[in-house]
Amino acid sequence: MRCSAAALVLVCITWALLDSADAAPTQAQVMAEFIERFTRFIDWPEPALGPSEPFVVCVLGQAALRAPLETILRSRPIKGRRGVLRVVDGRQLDELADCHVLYIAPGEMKRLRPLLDIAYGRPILTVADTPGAAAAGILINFYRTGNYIRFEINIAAVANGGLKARARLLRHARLITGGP
Amino acid sequence: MAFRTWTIRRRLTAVILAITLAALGIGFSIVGLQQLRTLRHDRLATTTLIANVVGTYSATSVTFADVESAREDLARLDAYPEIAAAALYDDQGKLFATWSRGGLFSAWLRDAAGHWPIGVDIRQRLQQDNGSLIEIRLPIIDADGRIDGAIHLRARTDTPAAVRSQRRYLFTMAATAIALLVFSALGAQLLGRLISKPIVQLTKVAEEIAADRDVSVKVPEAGGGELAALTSAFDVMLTRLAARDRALRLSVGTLRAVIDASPLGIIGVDPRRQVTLWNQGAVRLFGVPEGDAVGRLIYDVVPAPPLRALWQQSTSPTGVAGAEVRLPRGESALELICSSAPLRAPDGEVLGAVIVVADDTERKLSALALQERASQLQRAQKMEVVGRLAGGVAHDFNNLLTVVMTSCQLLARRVDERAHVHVRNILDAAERGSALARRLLAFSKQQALDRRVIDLRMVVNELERMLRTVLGEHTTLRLDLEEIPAGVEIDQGQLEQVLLNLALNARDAMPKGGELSVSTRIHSGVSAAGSGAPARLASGEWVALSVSDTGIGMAPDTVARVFEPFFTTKEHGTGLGLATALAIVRDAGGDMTVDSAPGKGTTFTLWLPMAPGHVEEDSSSRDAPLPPGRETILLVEDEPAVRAVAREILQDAGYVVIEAVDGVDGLDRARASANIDLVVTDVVMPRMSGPQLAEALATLRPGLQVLYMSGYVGDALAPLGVEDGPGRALLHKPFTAEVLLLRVREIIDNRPPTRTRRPSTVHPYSSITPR
Repeated sequence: MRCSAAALVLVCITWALLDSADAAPTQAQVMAEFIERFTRFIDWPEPALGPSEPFVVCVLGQAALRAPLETILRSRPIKGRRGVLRVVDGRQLDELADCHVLYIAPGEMKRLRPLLDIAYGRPILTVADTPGAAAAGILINFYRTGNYIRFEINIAAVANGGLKARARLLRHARLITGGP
Repeated sequence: MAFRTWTIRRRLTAVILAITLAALGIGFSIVGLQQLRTLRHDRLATTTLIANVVGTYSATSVTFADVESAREDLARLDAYPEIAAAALYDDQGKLFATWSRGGLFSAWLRDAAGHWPIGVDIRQRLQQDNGSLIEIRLPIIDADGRIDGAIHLRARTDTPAAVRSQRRYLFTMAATAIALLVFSALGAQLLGRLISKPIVQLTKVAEEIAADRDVSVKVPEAGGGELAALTSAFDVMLTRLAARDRALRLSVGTLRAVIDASPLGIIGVDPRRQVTLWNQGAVRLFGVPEGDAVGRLIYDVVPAPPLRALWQQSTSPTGVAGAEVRLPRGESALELICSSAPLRAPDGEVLGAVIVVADDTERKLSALALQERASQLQRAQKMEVVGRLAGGVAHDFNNLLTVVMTSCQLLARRVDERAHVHVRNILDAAERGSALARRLLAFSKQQALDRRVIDLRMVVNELERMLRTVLGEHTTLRLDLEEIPAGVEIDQGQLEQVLLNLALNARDAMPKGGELSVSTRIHSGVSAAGSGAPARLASGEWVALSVSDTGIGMAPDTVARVFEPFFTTKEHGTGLGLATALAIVRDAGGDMTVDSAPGKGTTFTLWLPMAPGHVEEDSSSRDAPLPPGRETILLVEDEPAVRAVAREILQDAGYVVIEAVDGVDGLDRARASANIDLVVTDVVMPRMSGPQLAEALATLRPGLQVLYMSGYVGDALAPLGVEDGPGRALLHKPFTAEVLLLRVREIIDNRPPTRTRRPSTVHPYSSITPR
């Protein structure tokens, strides 16, 4: 008994140390959080997001944020629904049609055109982390300013996809227009 | 304590102000506390609201870690002056963004514990207001109930606007309070005046009364209510007081009048002996007006030493009872009877004393006079006893002298010339004895008066020889008689007695000899200025008979008492001489004065009323021949010796004498005798007295004349039924042969012509015509 209690204390301390070492969130974690928070201020149209459907978050390509996203989706509901993470590679682009959120890893930007063909004009929140992505037709694109991660929103693309972005979201974003 | 001395208005003002202040204090405190609570609540709510708004607004900034936006968001708080600083925490509770008024280095960034906390528990709410600072920390909760972070606001409460607002609020409160106080003070004043005005009026009236002692003042009307009741009660009291005052004044006035009317001197003094009351009696007694006495020490008002002790003891607890004080007043003195009693308050404190002084002078004088009178009466009674004794003795004595004298006269006819001298000696001795008896009777006022009009000069001339004998060799007698006859109606014997008495006094006043002058003067009215004659001599004709000596004279006090009975300066004097003389002169309607001074001699003056008409001649002249007679005389006398000499005198003169030993015997003899012309009878006899005999004879032989003989004189005879006096058929014993024969002849010759005429039954001799 005594031995197990001491072991528990040791585990706890170790966890705490690990946790504190991990105190500063990584960029991937921040971006995963951001993606989750974008869903708070963006509304999907009814046909795209049925009441009982799971909320599908797709990640295209190898991305660092896959793990944090997984953690988030496991711990929190998204839009009142169960969040589902789907990792997609470039070969299975047609699988992207029922994604509600699609994160496009920087390495997958070479497939931008086909992606836009599929996603643009559809209620899929496309998120990229590549400069110029938004202007190309991606709805939200991360960029860096000093130590901070900021994002830009192509409001025309948002409107084209049938999504509605709330003003409070827009307040924090760099707004651009343009499309494919 | 001081409150109690305040006026009603002041008290009312104070009480109302105090109540107002208390109410204001309590009210304002409650309101203020409420306000403070509201204020705190409000500012807390406001700050919370701001925190909520800002938190909500900044939620996305935190959500998206948009520090710049967050700072912008917080910077909007600049519009709220009370917010001093703010901080945003992210969902991990880590400090995310801060803002403070005044920049990064503002003091507002530090709370009491130091800098903003780096990390907080975002779920925990913080709401605190420590008065100067308000700290609010709220979790930022989004629409789905997620806690996005926390916002912390730090607000200050002393912003200029808040201070202004507070000041305005305080000012309004203070102004309201002051206004209320002023109103209540005015109200209190008004109320106080309303209440105190009638009281002040009452007070004024009371003061007026106290000052003027005039209770007829009326209190002004005072509206209605309790004060009106008080006023009217006061008025009623005043009316009653006025009535009582009037009654009291009347009573005091009456009392004062009674005190003033008292013949006694009534004096009131206070314990210091200051005069408080001085009635008219005291004014009369001491001659000090009331105004000069009241208020001064009685020792100064009446400083007479005999009264000092009385003044001193007047307030002693026992007082003074009937102290007799003799207060010299000029030549005489006031005899005072003084009493005093202390005046006490009900609690026994001595308030002073009342002194009552009675003038006892009159009573004392009259008591002395009464004492003197009693003494005189005693002596007079003694004299009366002596007189009665003398009168009784005189009866027998006069019988004896009658025998002696008449026997001597009879003897003188029978003896030879050589023996005459002896008979004369016997007769002289008898006459001196007779004079002695007469003087004795005169003192006892039982002397028979033979008052006739006589010439004073004649009396003096007749008395000259005797006066010279009395005066002796060393004193010369000078007579100074006016040529005019000085007729006065008086008993000669008494007058002689007076003159002899005066001469004897003069002799005693001139032990070494001197001159005695006797003078007569006739005055028409005697002025009082001349020789101090009594006032009643001022009119009418008076004969003044003066007897002056050149002797030692008398002191004034002796002169004043010289006529008092039993007053004498002589060792063996009776004190009756001059008193008798004055009585004799006054009996004759005159008066007597004396003029004397020590060493200047003495003059006694007899003032006698001048008798109208001429002087009567002495009918019993010794030189006239004895009238003879042949008539029959019934001689009734119980004393054999007197009877014998009387029979012999009558028989010698030729009368037929029938003798009887008493009244019964006389009556028998009268019945037995055919003819009786005159009855000569003694008055007092055994078995039947003279008058009884006369009465009996009046029925037996009407018109029979009776001549009484008696050793009694004057009033002593009245009880026996015999009247004494001039012209009466009465022969005083001792009598001489001449007198007996003259009276017998006189009565027989004057008897009424008809013998059948009935005389008065009571006084058979009263029908005898006086000469």
